[in-house]
Amino acid sequence: MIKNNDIVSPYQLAMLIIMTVISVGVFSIASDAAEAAGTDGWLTVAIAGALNLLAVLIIVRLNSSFPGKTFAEYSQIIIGTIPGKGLICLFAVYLLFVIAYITRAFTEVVKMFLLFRTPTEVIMLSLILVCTYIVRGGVECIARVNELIFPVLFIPFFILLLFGFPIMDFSNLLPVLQTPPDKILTAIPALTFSFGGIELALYYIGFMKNPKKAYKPAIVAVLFITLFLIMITAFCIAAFGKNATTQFLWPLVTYFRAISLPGLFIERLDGIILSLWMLTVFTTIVSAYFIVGYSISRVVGTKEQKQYILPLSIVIYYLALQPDSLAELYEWGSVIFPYAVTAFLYVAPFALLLIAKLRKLGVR
Amino acid sequence: MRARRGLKVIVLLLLCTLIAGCWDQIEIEDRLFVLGIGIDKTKAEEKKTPEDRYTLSFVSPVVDQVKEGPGPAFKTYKTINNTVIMSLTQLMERFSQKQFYGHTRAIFFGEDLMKDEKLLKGVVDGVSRYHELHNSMFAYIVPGRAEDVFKVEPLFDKLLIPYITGITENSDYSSRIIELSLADMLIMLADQNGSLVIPKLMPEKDEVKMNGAGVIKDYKLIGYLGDQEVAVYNWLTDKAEGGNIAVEHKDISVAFRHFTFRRDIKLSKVEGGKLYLNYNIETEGSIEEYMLGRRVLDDALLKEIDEELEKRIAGESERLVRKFQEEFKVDLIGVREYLSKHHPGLFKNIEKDYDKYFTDSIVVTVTADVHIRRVGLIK
Repeated sequence: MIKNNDIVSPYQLAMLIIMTVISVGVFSIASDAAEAAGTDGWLTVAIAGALNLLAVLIIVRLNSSFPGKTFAEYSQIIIGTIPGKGLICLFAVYLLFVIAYITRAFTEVVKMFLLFRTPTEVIMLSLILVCTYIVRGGVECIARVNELIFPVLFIPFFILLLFGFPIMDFSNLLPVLQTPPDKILTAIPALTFSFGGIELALYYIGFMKNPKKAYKPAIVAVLFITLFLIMITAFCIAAFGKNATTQFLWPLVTYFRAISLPGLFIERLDGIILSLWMLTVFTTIVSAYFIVGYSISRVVGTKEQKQYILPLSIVIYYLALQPDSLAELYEWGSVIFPYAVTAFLYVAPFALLLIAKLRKLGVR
Repeated sequence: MRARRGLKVIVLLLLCTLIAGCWDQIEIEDRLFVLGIGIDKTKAEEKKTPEDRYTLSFVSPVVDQVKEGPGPAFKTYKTINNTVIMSLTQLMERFSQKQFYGHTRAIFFGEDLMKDEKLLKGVVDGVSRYHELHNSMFAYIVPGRAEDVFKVEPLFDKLLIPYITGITENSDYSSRIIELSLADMLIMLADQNGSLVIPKLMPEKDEVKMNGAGVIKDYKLIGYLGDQEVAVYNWLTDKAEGGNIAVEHKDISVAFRHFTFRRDIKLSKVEGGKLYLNYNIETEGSIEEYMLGRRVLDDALLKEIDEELEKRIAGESERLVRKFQEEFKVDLIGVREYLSKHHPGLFKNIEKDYDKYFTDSIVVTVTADVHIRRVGLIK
């Protein structure tokens, strides 16, 4: 008999969370943060990170009350089958939008920098189909892909970031703490999408042997993400100053492009940046895609989720083609994601945990 | 069984056609590398349609002539159109190759263009929006027309643009050269509300001279800085590194060469609605030229020369500060940057009407601190 291999190790969980959260948002976060809070942009990122640390603790707490069960199963236990299924459906729809959004954003970038004449459809479909192939492999396969890509992504990323030191002037981060607190607080919702993806832990922790072991990797992952995003924001503002940073669509791309390495074999880093971009996008889509299939299988009540994946690719493809332009896409994002992320990352886990406590469900 | 296997092979072979296509393939032979772009306002007599606004000049290397070959190693060409990006496409209608701007190293702005706010904003937006152009390329202003730069045939260099950017890269050794990339330009325009100092390039028959700089205020050229003023500008904005300063000491010309140059700003006092700022300039270097037969390795003498140099630096700096305050009426010497970074509370009060405040109520004093470390090989 083949051993059931649907198990995620604590280390893989950390990788999953990190790779899911780091997606298209990293390239634009500096611009959003600088626009919202000027030189204190990095601070808003730090505050958002602290909030998310709280959220992830609630998620792990909730999951460890129901070992061996994912969000799709225990939500039905906690709030009843029908409302539970409704909640799962909403979650799945939200994730579909996320996937479509990321796919489209990615396609636009690739079309701009690399493949001008390649049809949008081809770029999108090739991305979605590769993801489909991996998602059909099941949760272990996804965890391994994330584990594998993590060093491939972050080692070159950090090295490239360090090459930017000559163009940085850290006095651009002055003045510190001059933004009024209310402005910083109102800026945080705009940054939530950059942290969106942590909520997938609701599902993935359910695949762990012992969910209590999830505390450490989850905290480590959120801290890593927060520090990484703070670093990117600080570097971009240091390199360009707050005024120019707000002008750029993707400050991080501009940052990499501003680096020139005289005497090196590769003078331009565009290609490397794009391949990094591709990896971040790819892992995020894969992680979310699996959850969509899994949610459907739990709602319908089938054992497997494989059969839903391929048909879903058509839905994603259709959704991704809906926005007319990059501007419309971003409008979409700013309308849907702040609410959806708030609902699924903060409100839903907290409410479920509260109800479970009141109804005395789950293990201690 | 065998039929199914055959089917699988056929499907696999058919799938191969999916990965064989490439829509965006361009062979390197089909690429024409553009190394420099010059942008001018179109002259009235050159206009083909009334909408034409820009004259763009390009320079590309002739690849097989670069290493060895009797012919010229680069060729230049021009095009006229309404927008910058339209012009780039227009070139495709005239050349078999496709222009490639990934290696463009320099961009030259004509004087006329710089005097026109609308044109300048259009150009800067166009070149920084276009993904193929890297904003690490150097920017220059050319008095007269930018297309004249492309007529220069450099003495020692095969290619024109590496020659010009090579001069700019010498800014580590000469304080009279400003190094300004397109990214710096964008940043300065954003931080200083459309004001900027941009290096001036003078084309001649077989060389170019990097002398002086254009001063831009509110996206319009309002004047030029002279040769020595550029050096002082570099001192004041903490961009200088190496360079020379000459002083007269007891009828002897002394050449001082500095290797490091540091500037610190301090707010000394706020009094009667006026801000008193102190620029402290610190530099170290060596005496490179004195008078044969006279001993220069003498602490007392060096102290005197020291003082002479300090007086010179402070005097020239203060003169340039006055020029910015009185003549140009624009803050390009870093006062705004300093105040907004280090005294944000104070800056918030004066931010609204800053230009007027800068000319009327900011008093800058400059002090210098020169260290002569060495005197060369002769005592």
